[in-house]
Amino acid sequence: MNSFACRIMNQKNRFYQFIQFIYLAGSCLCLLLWLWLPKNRDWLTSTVERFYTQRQRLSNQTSLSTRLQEGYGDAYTFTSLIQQRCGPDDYFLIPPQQYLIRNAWQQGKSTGYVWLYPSVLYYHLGKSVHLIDMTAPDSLLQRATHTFWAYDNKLFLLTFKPHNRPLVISVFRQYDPHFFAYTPDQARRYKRSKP
Amino acid sequence: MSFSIFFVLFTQFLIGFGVITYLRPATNGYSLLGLSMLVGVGISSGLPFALEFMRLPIARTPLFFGLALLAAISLVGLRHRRAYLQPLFTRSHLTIRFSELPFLAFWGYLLFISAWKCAWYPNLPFDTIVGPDLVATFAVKEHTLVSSVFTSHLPSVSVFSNQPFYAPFTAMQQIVYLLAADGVGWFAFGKLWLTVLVVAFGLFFYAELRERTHPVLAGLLVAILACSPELFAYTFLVQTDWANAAFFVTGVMLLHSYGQTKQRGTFIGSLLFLALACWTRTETIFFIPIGSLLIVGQTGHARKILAIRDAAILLLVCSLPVVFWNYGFLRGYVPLPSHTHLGVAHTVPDHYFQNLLAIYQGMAEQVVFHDTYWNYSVYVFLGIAVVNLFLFRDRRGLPLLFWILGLYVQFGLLILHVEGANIPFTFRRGFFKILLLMYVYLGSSSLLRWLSGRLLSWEGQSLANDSAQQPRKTA
Repeated sequence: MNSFACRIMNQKNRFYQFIQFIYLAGSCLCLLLWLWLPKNRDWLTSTVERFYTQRQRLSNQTSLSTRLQEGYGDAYTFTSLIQQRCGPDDYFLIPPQQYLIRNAWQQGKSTGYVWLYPSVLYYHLGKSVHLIDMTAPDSLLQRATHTFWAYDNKLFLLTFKPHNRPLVISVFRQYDPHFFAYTPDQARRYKRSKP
Repeated sequence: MSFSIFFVLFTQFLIGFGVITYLRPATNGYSLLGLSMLVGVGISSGLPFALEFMRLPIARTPLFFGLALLAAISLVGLRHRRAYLQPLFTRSHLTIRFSELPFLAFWGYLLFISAWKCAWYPNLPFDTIVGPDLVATFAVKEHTLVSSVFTSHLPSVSVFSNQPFYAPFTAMQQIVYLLAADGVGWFAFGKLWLTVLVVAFGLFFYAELRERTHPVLAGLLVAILACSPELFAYTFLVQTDWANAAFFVTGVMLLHSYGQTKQRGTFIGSLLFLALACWTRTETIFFIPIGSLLIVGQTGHARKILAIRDAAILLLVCSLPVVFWNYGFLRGYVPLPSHTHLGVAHTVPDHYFQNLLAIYQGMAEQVVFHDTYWNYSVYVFLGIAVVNLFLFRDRRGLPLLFWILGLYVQFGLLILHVEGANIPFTFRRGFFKILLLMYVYLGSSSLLRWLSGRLLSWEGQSLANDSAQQPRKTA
């Protein structure tokens, strides 16, 4: 190829790159303008801020228990408590959600006790304890060994004894066992409704 | 990343690569890579069932052996597909322009955030931990799909809804990746498949838009779409909807291509993806008749019989996963609790049309025009679509608009008639399909094609002018 043709090619190449540079500037400008729009800006800022806060706080903590605690909060705390105190032969009686919403709201207002849903408990507990709810027959209810009991607006893991079992079960029976508030908002609405 | 996770990713890709190179629906290298991963992820979700029916345990060794076997089978005859592969990977197809870099960097950043959150956190959505992840976790623990979730837990509790009976794709991918991660490391919660699926679909989607319009416009469209907070959130929250939308939209795009090219492999590819969409969410089967109607409607009188046959094949193939899961496996193979209500439909005795109109209005107010779910992406679609329809009188994109409208109508009917279907959850996440289709429509609209043409001719003219002026200057 002679030097004239080479020069033409080089010039053409340079001009192509110049056009690409204009496109690059145009792309940057369009993208920035798009991200500058109020809704996009608010969303992106909050997303990025939340991410960096989480990453700063959590990225060094890679153990499974830390990640589960961070993800599940109360559910993890209380199911770990059950796992520590109960064995595979024990029966954990799931208290009616309404009972806890009415009597220990302070402790459960952020979650609405959604983690009491039987399948959520089974997800966390598996076969480490038998789960029964208030719809179980009386014979099974009599075998319950543990439950959650509300006292002074707080939740406690209660071990059943012959003297407290009738009282606890009669209190639980005052609430609808089939009711379930699936979201904290539904639980809040139930809390605000008249007893 | 552990070797086992790499092995799963690699074999899934090979499974899809073999199938896609056999069907040949992709027109460029990036599309091929994206489609291969999507198909591989989809097909491998059938493997736990194969193990179950062969009475093999749901464990690492049989699963990995199955993946390797599937990959080997799908790659048989790959040597003869070189002629198809070579033009897809030419420089002109693969070169990324400078102008695409800002968009790629932006998506890369969003994806990094999404991937980090997806990997670090356990499964959080209620629907997932009482549904697909519950089924998957206990299948892995007990080495069988008919785990204690079905045999002892559900029969013993009074409160449970239909999440454990969701279509199986999500649960099966959780099984595959939980086994690969083996409960340790960054990917211990088995959610990596979601990030892989999002990246694969994103690659295919962008590559297709880039084929139809100027790369700068394609980049801008995807950037607009990426700024949809709700769509972004579900790239790291495991649910059934993102995967469903990815498979469904890919199927519709391939079916749309088939309408133009009449290439048989593309049609079979679209069947495969739409069937995978039904394998991901059962109600998708109600959207398939839209495709069948379009196949018949778009075909001339001379080929009407063939079109009716294709439409029937589409319906039949897509109903196979639905029938298998809901009637073969759930009602036939798994002992379901007596008080289970699966897919209960109800009639509306009074004020039928008033109720239906109220639902459509609710769908628009609570989801489509929601203040923060999609930011500006719906408004951009509406603006461009109006210009496209009334100024350019574009008829090319009408089938895609028919899909969008058909999905909206069908969702309203589903919400009215199916127990448990609702606007705030079912339609909010079901809208992913509609939103993605909106941008497929924009990518092939006359307005953007016209703009692309202007940009390309400006580039061409500038180069031509420059080289034409050059001899004069040098002379």
